[in-house]
Amino acid sequence: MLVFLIRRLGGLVATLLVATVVVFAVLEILPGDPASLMLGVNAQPDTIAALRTELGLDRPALARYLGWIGGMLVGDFGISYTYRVPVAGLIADRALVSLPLALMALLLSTAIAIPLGTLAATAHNRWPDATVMGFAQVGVAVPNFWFGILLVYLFAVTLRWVPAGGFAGWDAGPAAALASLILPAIALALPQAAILARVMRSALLDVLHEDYIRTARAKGLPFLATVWRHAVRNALIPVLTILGLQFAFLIAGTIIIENVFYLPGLGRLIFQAVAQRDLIVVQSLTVLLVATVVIVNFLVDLAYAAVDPRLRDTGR
Amino acid sequence: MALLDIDRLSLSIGAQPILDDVSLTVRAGETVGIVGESGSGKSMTALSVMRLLPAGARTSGSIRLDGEDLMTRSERAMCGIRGRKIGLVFQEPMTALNPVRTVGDQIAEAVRLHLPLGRAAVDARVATLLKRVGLADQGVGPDRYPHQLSGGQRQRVVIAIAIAADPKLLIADEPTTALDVTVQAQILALLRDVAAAEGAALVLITHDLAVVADMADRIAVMKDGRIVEEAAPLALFRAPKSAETRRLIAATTATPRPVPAPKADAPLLVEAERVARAYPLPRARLFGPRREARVLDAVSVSVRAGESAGLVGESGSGKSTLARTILALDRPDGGTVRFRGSDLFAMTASELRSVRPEIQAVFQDPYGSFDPRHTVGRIVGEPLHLLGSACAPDERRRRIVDALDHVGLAEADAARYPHQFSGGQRQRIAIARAIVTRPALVVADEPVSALDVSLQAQVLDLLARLRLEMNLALLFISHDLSVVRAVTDRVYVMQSGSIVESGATNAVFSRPAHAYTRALLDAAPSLERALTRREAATVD
Repeated sequence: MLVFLIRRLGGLVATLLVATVVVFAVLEILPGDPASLMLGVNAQPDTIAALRTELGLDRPALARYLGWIGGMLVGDFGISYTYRVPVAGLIADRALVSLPLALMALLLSTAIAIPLGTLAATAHNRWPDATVMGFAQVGVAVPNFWFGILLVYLFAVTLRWVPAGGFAGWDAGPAAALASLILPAIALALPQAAILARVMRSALLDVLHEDYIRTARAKGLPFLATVWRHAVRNALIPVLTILGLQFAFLIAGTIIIENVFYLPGLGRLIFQAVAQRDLIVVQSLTVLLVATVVIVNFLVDLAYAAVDPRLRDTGR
Repeated sequence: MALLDIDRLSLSIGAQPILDDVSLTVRAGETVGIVGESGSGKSMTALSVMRLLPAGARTSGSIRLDGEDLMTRSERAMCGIRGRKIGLVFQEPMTALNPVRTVGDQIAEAVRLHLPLGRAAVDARVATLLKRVGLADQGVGPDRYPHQLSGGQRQRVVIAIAIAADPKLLIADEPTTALDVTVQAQILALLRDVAAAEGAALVLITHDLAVVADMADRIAVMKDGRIVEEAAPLALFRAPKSAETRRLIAATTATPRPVPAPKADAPLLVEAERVARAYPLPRARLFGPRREARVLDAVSVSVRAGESAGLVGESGSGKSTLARTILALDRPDGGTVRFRGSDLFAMTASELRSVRPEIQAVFQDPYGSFDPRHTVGRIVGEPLHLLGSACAPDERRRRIVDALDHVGLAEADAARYPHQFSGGQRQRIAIARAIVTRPALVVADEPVSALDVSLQAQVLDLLARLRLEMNLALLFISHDLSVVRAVTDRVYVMQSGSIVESGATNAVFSRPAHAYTRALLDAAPSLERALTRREAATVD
């Protein structure tokens, strides 16, 4: 088990290192000098040069890379070119919106998908199956921002239960903050839930054909108890894989959803930073997002080992 | 009154009739065998009794257990009967247990479902059961997971589950088919002991006549969903009344046509010399020593032109790894493999390519070795690409038709797809593919293990005919000693990666020198031996 953990951790660190190199190299190759962009078209060459020195852009690439990595390790992400404030603070503020949002969406999609997928599989080829799969089809096909707009129309404009957009801030109390996050979380979660429900259904259907299900039934275990005690945990193995992979899409989804709901989150920050060529912010955010996805997949690996004793033994 | 009384049971799934008017009784404490080929309805009879039939099944007739009609019971009532009154042991020990739960947990579940015991009493019962099925003696505790156990140990767990609540009836459906002969003998003995000790009746479903001849008090023979004959073993096998029984006996005792042994000066085709192979295992601890599984340990094997050499051993003995090495699919860590005198693993890619048409293979699961989207013609013709431009389209077609003809298939079959053929025909297709390049040697790895006895006999005879017609040499790999005895001139006995005994097949089998060979021979079920033993018992 320890071998398994350490191997996975090693893989995690290696992935992150490669990601930093790629991100840095790509931004290095891209045309456009942040200093001249910040100062506008009419800037004097010596002003630009002065700013480049101030930003450290005149140092060799390797030195800047190492400085960047070293800084990140101690929590110093540099100074934003456009906002002129430390990137770390900028990200921290925005993360307080995006992380709860992503987490809510993840929990919500799992909470919707697992029971519905189980229901569909146990009622295979009967009406609950057809209904769930019908909704899943719609959920997969419809883009999440459109769900967002629909939800706003229904719950914010018509029923006035929650605000239509913007973020009340955590200072306004958790209830208000969560109220402004719930619609975007649902909009993010629905398409994910649709995919996950389909995966859960087909995984469970596969498991239900396994010999050990027959063994359990031959013991005298009723069908639903067999599903619960013997099938669900085995079916979770492929579901976890998809869950890990989907997390990356969830993060990409926040870029759109945060724009739809005017949420001051990481998604909007990265969108603005790209538009304004705020390279240092883009760089740090990208690496941070990569780190999140990699860490989530590390957690998925741990979950595998928790679910499947075979993995604990082989150390694969 | 009979314990189990199946009366005029018929079953259909969709429009497909499965069972037709099956009547069978089992008395308390009795062992009843059900034999028949795959698809004859043996397993479906068992599943009907358990009311665990697939969706869409329709039944008629009655099944009484202790006088109570199971067909009219509610599903809820059936849950109280399954496991409590009837214990079921299945064929596939490798997959019959839930991989994510401990064996103790899975046995305890069966206890808790039916017996009103507290936690400590359940644990004690699990410990007793593990001891009862001989797992405690093997050091297998309740906290183990299925993947940590061997096939035989898993089957013991399945038996422990089946007897957890002291059922009066045990149904064992091909309980030993996937197991090695020595393990099979142990599991059969265990089933017999357990049934006798608990006073339970045993219904033993198998395709192996020798097993039921040895175990059963009474045997029912099934064909196409009907019971065609029912009698005590001696009466059934010494004086069979139905054509099906006679056919099964004939297939079991059939020997393929004789092939003269090659001359002693026939040239050597393949010489594997001191071949070694090990696979790395994951380290037990971080920075622990590297570990490896030694699969082949200085194994030397040779086959002469036109000769049939056998390789027997139990699963995990390294037989298949050796086959892969001789097929030049797996590079050994040590030793050499020479084909017609030149080292296979010292050859350049193009030299190896020119040798490959000479060494072809047939595997156990033909369907798994076919691309289901390819026609039979394309599958059979596949190895011809090895011949390169030497094989023009006309020649190619001629060769495919010729190969199909050799194995008894028609030219028109070339346009069909593998799923349109039965298991025996698929193995013929696999053999056609192996001979299409006119090889000197065919390596056959368990080529008949997945087939019914009558199909086995046909395929073995086909191989014998091909040897005669094409002067084919055969490396025949099997765990089944009777098959190896029937088709080989010489035999190698393999145990844990080493050859422990070799020699002329008849000599090795009639005067085994190594203890392992003797153990294999003793454990192998034999119809004749079982009947002789019964006859001796009646005389006493």
